[in-house]
Amino acid sequence: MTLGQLAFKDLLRNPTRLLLTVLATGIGVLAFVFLQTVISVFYSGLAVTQPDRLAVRSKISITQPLPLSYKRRIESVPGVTRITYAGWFGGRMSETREDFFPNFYVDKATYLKVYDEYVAPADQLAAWMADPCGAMAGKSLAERFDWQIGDRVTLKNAVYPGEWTFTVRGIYAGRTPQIDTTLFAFGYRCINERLPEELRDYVGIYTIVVDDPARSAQVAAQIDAMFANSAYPTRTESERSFQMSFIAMSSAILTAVRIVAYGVLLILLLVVGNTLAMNVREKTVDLATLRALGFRRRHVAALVLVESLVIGLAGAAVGLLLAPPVLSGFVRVVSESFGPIGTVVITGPTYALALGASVGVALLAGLLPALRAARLQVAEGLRRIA
Amino acid sequence: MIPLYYNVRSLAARRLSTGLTVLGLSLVVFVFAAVLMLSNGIESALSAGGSRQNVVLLREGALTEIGSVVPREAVAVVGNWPQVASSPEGTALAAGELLVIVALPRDGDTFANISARGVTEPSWEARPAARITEGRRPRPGSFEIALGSSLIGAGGGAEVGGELEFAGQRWPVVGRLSAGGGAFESEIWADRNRLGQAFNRPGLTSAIVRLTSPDAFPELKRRIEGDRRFELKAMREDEYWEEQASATATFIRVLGLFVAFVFSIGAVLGAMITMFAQVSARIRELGVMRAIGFSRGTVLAGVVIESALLGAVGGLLGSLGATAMRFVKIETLNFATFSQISFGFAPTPGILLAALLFGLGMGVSGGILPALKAARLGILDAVRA
Amino acid sequence: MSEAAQVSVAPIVRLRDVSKAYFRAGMRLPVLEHVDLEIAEGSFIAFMGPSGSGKSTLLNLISGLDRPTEGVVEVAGRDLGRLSDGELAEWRAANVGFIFQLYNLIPVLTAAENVELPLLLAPLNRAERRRHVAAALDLVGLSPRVHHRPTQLSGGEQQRVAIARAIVTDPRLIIADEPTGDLDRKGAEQVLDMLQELHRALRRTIVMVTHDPHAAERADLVRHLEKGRLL
Ligand SMILES: Nc1ncnc2c1ncn2[C@@H]1O[C@H](COP(=O)(O)OP(=O)(O)O)[C@@H](O)[C@H]1O
Ligand SMILES: [Mg+2]
Repeated sequence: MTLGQLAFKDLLRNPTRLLLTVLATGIGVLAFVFLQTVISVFYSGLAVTQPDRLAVRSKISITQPLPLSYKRRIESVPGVTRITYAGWFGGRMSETREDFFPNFYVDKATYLKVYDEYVAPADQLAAWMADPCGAMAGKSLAERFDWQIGDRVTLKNAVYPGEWTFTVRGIYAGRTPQIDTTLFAFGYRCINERLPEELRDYVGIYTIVVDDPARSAQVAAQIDAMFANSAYPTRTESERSFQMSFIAMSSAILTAVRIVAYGVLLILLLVVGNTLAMNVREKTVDLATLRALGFRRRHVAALVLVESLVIGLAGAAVGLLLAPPVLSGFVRVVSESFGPIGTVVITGPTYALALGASVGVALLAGLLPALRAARLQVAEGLRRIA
Repeated sequence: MIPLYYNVRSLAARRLSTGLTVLGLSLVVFVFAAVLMLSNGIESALSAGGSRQNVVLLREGALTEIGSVVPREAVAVVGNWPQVASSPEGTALAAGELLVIVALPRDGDTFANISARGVTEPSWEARPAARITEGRRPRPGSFEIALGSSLIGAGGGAEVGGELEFAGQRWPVVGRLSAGGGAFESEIWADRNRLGQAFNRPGLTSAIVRLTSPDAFPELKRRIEGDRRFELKAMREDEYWEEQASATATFIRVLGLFVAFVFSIGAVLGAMITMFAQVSARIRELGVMRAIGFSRGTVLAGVVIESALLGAVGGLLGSLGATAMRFVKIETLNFATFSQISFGFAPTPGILLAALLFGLGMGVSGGILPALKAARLGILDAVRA
Repeated sequence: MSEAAQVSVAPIVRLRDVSKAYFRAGMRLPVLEHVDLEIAEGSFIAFMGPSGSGKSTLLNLISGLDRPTEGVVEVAGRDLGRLSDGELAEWRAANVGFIFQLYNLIPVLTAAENVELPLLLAPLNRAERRRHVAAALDLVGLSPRVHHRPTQLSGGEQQRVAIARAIVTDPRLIIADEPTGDLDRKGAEQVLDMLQELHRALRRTIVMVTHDPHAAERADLVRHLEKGRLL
């Protein structure tokens, strides 16, 4: 036997309690991972932003369009190497929320040159380019509705009157797992031609690529100055701060979710702390005996901390094993009754954070009991008849 | 039956354990109750804006005013129908409106998306709940605006007497708009034509119609939806706002209740740990009780009651804590309209009762296994221990 | 091994004017008063006295588990008052073996592991530890029960495991606080035989507290305590 083995044998005094505590910790880690993942879904837009991409949109409001004629003028600004535009179409297959999915019009000729994180087979890409009313659907979207290449999708829309039928020409995937594959994109030409005069030739947002990200503030200022006194003033910002502005709008919800996530850790602290305190109390005589035999304060404190470490690690293992199936179950239930919620993946940092939090909380919970064990007066402890 | 003070005393004897467990349980109940209060708060904030006697007209297929277009002729036509109420001066209470989203700078570099509603005189008449509580109504045809009361004080001239700047215009704030906590309190109301000019939007997004009585709705709905010229749909105003709230409220409710459910498993395990410890610390006592003639059932009930007591106290503390959240206001994005809404935690007796029962339920479930263990102990086992 | 014990004439335990008091609610509760005591190395001494007379307190002072309120405690040539907490623990590990009334074995460890405990603090490798443990358990006649846990042993057997644990480090001083207090006649006799054997054959110094006159008879010196005073 070694000191380490002594610590492990000591764990088995009350296996039921250890098991319950590890399970409770696992459940807490599960909830923590779940909430962190919910938060990261909000931030997933940020993960795919690129420093050399800028968004140009209406300064007045996100719902206000910009004239198509801006394309040439923005393109001519020095430093701008590529440009594309897109807009929210907001069509629906029916009036229910359940079968809603995000759909956009894009400038097919330039879109994938700017957004190179979406990838599709070359032949599908060519077919999509060739057909203005051809649509590209994300992989998970296509799976959701069981769409095949060549299927027709009809959308209705209140702002753009009438029925709009698109043919699925391609199915795209993401370069990395964070890329949203629930989108549906078709050509701007397809709808622009059918619009009434007053709606024609307006687009939602331009995205540009600059040659030098360090100069992007300058480029942005120049673009905004160019349109400042027109009827359609612009607001140009990095793709990152554009995404951040959406996240900022949900900041209250995000804060609440964060508070709850840390509330989980607080509950864990209470449960693990309770177990460790009870353990120390129940083995006071044994700890005093060890001290009498010559074990040092740090030895008995280490016994308690090893226990908390084991609870933290085992709890993290349980929680992290449970997290993926529970999360995908939750996503399935929610998207069935609620519409899709983007691509949900548990990221590496979330795993690391959960592991750290579990071990950290368990050690923190062990701190007071360990201190109590170390402070134990030997003579006093021995008097305490078990 | 074992008297209750016996349980209370034995819990008090292990103060630390009891305290930690009750705290854990109460945190879970807190989350549970707070979530329900919050989604209730969102719903009541938004639905409080709507009157049952009013009708919102939207384009067929549109779910929100933002995504809708309503032709002017339609408003004129509906205004002549007998189901529509009139003002004392005799004008029909049917008003075309324009809803746009305005990006208003907030502190620092961020900005908030605020709904701006372009209104006309009948818009006010049709909504008696929307009142000016400070200053006055904006003059028709001017750039004056009334600011929803939850936007007042948001900074940057957002106060009566101040001035906002958006869409290349200056808009003097002349009034504070209150609407019984409803969604209008998060809106800017401006003159419809001026707003349309500023946003290059000559059309209407929706129309509000006041009925002579709530019962007139089916008839109006049948007529407008049957009219081939317009492709419009009619919704009761209160139902429209409930619908607007439902996505955000459901999001919070689904997420929150799922989390509370997961939490509760952890808390039940915590209660179980404590109750197992209680049972093994009292094996002798329990044995003596069995020896003097208390039945297994009584011992079992005694342990469950003790655990239920933990749950009840946790439930009480948790729901009290959540009720204190009443004083917190929250602003967030409404997913349906992409604009900012402001709401609070709205406790109801039903929610409080549910929270208490939830706490009690957790306590009871945590006590069952330890109680079975206690009841299964043989008298001799216990006395010998 | 016990060279020092044979040559030395100096006492192994020396208490000079030692008092111990507890302070509770502002009151001074004297437990030991002005105790002067010398114990020669290699002796087997028993302390007797009514319950509450301060016997355990005296043992705690001698074995460095507690510190006196006044006076000097010298054991095995060290002034215990000058040792820090850590040094005292180290000193105990090297010099004192403990036997308690309720055996104080660690319930989750086997007999062999319990005996091995104090060796974990000594600079020994695994094989050496195993040899020492086997020898100690052999000495108390429990070799066949090495893998049993305390709950699987009788009280007498548990106390013999405790004795093995007390001697496995080969300490100069063995402290026994009512070692037979919880045992039946037969168990008690066995334990006392063993202590006597340790004293006679190995010349260990044994300091024992008991209120059983039969047990005290086995010692070669009996001292009485009453109300904190050594008679
Ligand atoms: N920590 C303490 N606080 C107060 N009184 C104590 C403490 N420890 C022991 N005593 C008291 O000291 C006296 C002697 O105790 P002890 O040495 O254990 O007696 P014995 O072993 O002779 O029965 C007793 O009256 C006991 O109550
Ligand atoms: Mg004693």
